[in-house]
Amino acid sequence: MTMTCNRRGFLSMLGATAAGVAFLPALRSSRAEPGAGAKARRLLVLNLVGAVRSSAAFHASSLQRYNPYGLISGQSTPFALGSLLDDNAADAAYTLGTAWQGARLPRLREIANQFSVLGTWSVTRGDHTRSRIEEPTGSATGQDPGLLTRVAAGLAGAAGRDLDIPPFHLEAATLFGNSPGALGRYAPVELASFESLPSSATEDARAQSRTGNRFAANDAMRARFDEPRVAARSGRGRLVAETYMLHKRAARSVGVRLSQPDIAVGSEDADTAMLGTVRLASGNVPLTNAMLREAMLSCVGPDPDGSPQRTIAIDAALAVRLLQLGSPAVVLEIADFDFHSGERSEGPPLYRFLGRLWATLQWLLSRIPDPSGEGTLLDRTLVTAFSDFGRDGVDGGWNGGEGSDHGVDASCFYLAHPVMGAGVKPNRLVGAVSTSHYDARRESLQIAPQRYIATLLGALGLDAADPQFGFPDAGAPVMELWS
Amino acid sequence: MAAHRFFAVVAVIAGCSGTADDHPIDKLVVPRLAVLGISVERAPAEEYCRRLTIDLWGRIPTGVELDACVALPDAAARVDAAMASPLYERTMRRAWGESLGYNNFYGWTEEVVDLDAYVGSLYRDEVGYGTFASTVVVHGGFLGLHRYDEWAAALWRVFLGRPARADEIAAFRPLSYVWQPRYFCEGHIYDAMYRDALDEGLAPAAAKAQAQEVCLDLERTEWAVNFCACSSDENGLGCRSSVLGAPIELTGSCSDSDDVYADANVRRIDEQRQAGEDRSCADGVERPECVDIQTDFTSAATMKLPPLPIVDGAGRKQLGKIGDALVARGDFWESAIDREAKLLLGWWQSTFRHPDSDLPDVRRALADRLRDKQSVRDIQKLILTSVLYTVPAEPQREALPDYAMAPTKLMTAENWLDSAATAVGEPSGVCDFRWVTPEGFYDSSIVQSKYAEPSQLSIYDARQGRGAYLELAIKLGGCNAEARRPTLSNVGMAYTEGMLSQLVCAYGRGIVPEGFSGDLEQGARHVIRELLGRTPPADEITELAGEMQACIAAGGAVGCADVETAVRWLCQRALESTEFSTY
Repeated sequence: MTMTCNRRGFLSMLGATAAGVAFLPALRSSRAEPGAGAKARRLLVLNLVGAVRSSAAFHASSLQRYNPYGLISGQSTPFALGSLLDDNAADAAYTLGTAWQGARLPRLREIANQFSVLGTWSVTRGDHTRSRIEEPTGSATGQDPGLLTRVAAGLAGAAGRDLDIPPFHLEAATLFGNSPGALGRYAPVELASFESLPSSATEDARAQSRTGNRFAANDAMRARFDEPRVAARSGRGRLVAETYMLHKRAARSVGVRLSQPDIAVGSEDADTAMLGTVRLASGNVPLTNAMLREAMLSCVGPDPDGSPQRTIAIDAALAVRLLQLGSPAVVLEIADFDFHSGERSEGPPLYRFLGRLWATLQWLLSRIPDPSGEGTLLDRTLVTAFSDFGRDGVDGGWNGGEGSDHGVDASCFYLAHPVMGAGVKPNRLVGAVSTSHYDARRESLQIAPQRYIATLLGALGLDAADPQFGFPDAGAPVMELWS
Repeated sequence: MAAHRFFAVVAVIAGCSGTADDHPIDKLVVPRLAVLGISVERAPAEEYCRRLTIDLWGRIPTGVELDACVALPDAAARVDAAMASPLYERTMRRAWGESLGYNNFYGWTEEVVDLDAYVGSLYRDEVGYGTFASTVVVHGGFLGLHRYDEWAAALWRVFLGRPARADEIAAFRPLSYVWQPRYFCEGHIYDAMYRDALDEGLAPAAAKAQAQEVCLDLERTEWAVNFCACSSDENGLGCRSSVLGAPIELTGSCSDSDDVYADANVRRIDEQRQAGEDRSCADGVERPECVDIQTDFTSAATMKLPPLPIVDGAGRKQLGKIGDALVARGDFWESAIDREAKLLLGWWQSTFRHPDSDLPDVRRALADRLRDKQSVRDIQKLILTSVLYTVPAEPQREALPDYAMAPTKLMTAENWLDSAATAVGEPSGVCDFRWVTPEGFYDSSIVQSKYAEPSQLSIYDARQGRGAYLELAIKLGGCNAEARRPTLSNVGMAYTEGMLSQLVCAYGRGIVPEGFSGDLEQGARHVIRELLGRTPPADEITELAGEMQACIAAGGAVGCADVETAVRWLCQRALESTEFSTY
């Protein structure tokens, strides 16, 4: 039986959401400050939902059974890149408009030695339901916090106060924002897409004047119906009420901030809104919404409006804006990688988009100042990719439906994560396996998925072994990425 | 425990309504409270009625409704009155819709409608819970929404209250193959067919009928076999499993068991034959259940779409084994109790601490009661009349477990929108939780109008345009069966509610008291009563009137232009407050 799992199917299977704004918590009054020894101030994770064909992407094989698409030739990297990620379009397709001063975005092959690859290994991989839980949380129980929650809890604990710019989860389909129990206060702000952003454009000036212009003589007046309710509750009731009160306060800052035009990267009405700068040939120029959207939509190809990747591309632009705001972590989920059938025809556009997006992020983030004032966003942001797991090899390269399956082969249990930024030494392959079998059991080093999450926490300067938000038993962070 | 303290507690309970010994929950919880030194007191009637109304009706009560509830003698009478409203059944159907994961992208509209109606019968006490679950678990609507391995995953999640383990999913897999031959008419296929028909120039009604025909063809024409797959070489798994406990073996009811796809096993729709006139289908095979379908959509008379069961009586009996095995499990009944307790108490199982957020003896007692009486409505009433719900939400002291106070929950999206509209005397909208589009957003346009819930023009649509209610509900985390409703708030939600509170208070026609004389105290009293469901004490009224006066004194440019604006200003403050949104 061949079963097609498209994005929708995957969401349905997970019982996950494609809906509007969801959660957050967690804001009192501080930007995310990295812990001591931090390599990074922030994380950007692309999660490739549905299981990427890792053996044909960032650690590609020359064997047909693992990678019938071939390799990008002429590379000198310790990991081969699959031609599935490549785009042979002419330079014009990579060249941006006048606002960008005609800058040309790089091809993936041109930045191949600007990032590294880290391989993780787990023989329990292969089941989507489990991976949706285990990959982002580090355990299969569903009762452990997701990476974003761990980041918020860890940084808030280090700062002794909650964050005023929280982590964000875009296109959420898996449990990166899982926040059981009292950790609910550290849940990320979840946005189904850029379309879920609040908008100040919908403010009704007449309604404001008819309701007294939000007059408040003092904070006590403002809190009259809030603080007594919180004080009169305990236990779970206190958590619910206090979290709401905090969010209401935060809405006056973050919510209002998100509603401003310079965050509305998907709205043509806000095309001229700008936030920060980008370094171009002539020097630093203001980075407008239109520029950001143009750069990201260029990854989609010549017809972005008709492409299923259009929304993700604009969400990627939003992710950049959120990093510019100072968010410590952003996860953007990209769906539809579960090609049990039709991979041969439908896979290339999606993987091509991924390759271009990765290269564009490398180029763009290295030209935008980090909000901390410490170099560029790429200097201070660790960028990586996750997925459910890899996919099985199959004789001939495809199954009967011209797709690929998962759950049996070692190539499913091995997942190659590209990683760049935050001082990561480029052009490395950590946790390597032979691409003739992908079986890490035959190698001296196997890096568990949990240890990779711990490494990301460590990169932010957090004690990854802290039982409150880390993994006491995961082992040391993989410092080979920086050494 | 000091004996005198325990008896004092019982005495307080007895003074309210019956004794703790009468109540299956109270007789377990009251002694616990006594150990904690808690004297059981009933919440003020206004507090109880507001909580009850939001839980059972999905919105706050109007002032009149609150008065009527308060006037009733006790909790039992108030619960009975609330459950008598159609709003109660609708609220429960919505909760189940989220649990079952309705959508008409994957699901077939008529089956979702049927499933939803069946849920309603559960809360009308027309069907017992065991029968209900046995039926739902093999209902075409449920299966259409959760196919292949997801069938097992949904079964465990919905009826056993936990995710299925990988080994359980694998062990259930032989049973899931009984449906392998069936095609499902997915909502998006229907939608595509409908739009194609419109493009062909058909009128909407005819286009819908044509789309339905395509769906019927897809669903029922080709592979409507009685799970002959069980005896097929193609299914080496054999339709046998003991994963639910009792051994299940589905033997199929094939006319030709050697060939699962033999014509005799296929109840093919014959478009040529006249219904009821003969049993010979167009392929020459006689089948009593061969059904005709008319494809002439030029007149209403020929638009009949006769029902054709996917599985016949014998098949249903076979499938019933799955439900029988399910309801024979003890954890099936306990998970039903967990679901109702979570819904009504909020804190139940919100952590893994025992017994702080989980009372195993209460669960066990209620599970036994549910198995005995089969009534979910009865279980809800027990919870709603117990000390877990009827005491004040304010604890008597700090550091008490959650069961020592009434719950405090966050309004869900639709609850907030409907409550805000109710508070200012305006109509609210309807989110028909049964339909979502391929994008995951509610849309009834692809559903036959006869199934659509009636909707009036809400204040949100009136002020922000058609569809605003739905968009706002989605923004607040609701109105989408696939969404995970946030159990805690979020910044986006708080921001949106803040904007909306301004809107409804600015334009709501019922927020300024009738015959308002300009007396600020009168205005304050009205706002607090309508929005927060309580009668404010005199000193609070005085303070609020003073604040309203301060707003007026600030002037129209930065404050309130007049006394009516001051009333609306207070409305906005109350509506976006923690007190309004938590209950």
